[in-house]
Amino acid sequence: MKNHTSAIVALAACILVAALFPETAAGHGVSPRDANFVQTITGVAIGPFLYLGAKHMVTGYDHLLFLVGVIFFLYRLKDVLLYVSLFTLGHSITLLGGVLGNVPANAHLIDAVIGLSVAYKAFENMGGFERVGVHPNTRAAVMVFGLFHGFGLATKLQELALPQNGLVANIISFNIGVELGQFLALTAILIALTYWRTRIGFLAHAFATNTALMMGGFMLMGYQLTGYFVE
Amino acid sequence: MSDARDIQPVASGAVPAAIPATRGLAKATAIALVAAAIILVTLVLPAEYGIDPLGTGAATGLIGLSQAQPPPIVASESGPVRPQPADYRVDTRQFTLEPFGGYVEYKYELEPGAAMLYTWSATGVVNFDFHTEPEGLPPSASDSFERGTASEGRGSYVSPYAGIHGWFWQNDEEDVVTVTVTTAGFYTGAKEFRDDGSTEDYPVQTRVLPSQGSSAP
Repeated sequence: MKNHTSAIVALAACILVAALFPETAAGHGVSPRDANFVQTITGVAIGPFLYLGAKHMVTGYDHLLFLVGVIFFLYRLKDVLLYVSLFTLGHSITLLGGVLGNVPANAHLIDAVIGLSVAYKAFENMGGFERVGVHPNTRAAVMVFGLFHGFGLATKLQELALPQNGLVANIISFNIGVELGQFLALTAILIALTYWRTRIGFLAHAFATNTALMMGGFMLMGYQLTGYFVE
Repeated sequence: MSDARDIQPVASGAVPAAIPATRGLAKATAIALVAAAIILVTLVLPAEYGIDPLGTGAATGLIGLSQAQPPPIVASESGPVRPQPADYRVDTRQFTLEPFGGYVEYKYELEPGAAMLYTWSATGVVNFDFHTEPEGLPPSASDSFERGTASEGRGSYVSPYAGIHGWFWQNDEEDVVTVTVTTAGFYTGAKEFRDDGSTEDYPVQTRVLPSQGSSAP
């Protein structure tokens, strides 16, 4: 009974946090003040772009939700490093390639796929694919969704119309900042998860938690797809 | 989630902890979908896009988030831009002043704070006096703001109080003089006082027909 109650509380908390997402970081773009700053840059600005990259990751609920899903059942540090490396490889390719190659993409559609990645990972964590009887490669999935997460970062940077002068150094700085932010966020998530795993009922709540995660993914998808059709 | 708890954990790296019952999985997925749809439709869409099919955005006030505009800049009495109490009007009059003392008075009805731009010119030198007749007060309450002898004048005027405000022009010379006055401002009417003791109220034009700016050569 106690397990049940705390599972409901956990789910309710997740719903509340999910409901507050649009309030706390609408669209998860770059804040107007940061955007104004970027417009004033005319050359290499390693420090600011490192910071902006890290900030984008730490405050990026879509990336964070996906990371929670990815490492939810990774108990060994070796596995964490492997999966996070795949994710990093994926998003770095498209972040650098998308901005430097000036690849056009609709930010809403990319963000909808990022929402899908959250729901997908949650479904996988719930044992959904095992039950359905298909076995998609989990490593390939993290890598491929990593590509979309990087493309999402690229579309946000492209909206800023970055100056060509110092572009490569600035984008690489931004990318390194993203990884620094990811490291910080992962540390916090891992500490929380590791503590939670020592508690009785982690596995029982895991299903409910991933259900909530899936709901968050669906919500992001609906939010971005609506944005695509409205704007 | 009782369906989910009947299952046995599987210990492995990235593989799920357990394989759930089909019913539990379907139920959880459906709950996730429905919860996401409810939050999306009742809260997120009204707040982000102003789409409010159930009226929940209006009920919670979230609809305001999607309609937020930059705060308006309100013109104030002390700022360089000032609101005006009446419609914008323009007016042009011409008066003929007889020699040796012929005069006319021409005044506009202005609310407190109402502004007016003016220019006037005469075919000869005249005595003039720009003065007021405050509403509801005896003639002794009149203020004279500018007085002199000239053949033209131009400027701006902001009415300090309600009443009629304007010029007295007098021709002391030996030839007939024509005075032409043109104003633009926020007056509600105009009044003429002639030297034969008669008065006349004039309606003032509320609109100016635009000239074709784009067809200028």
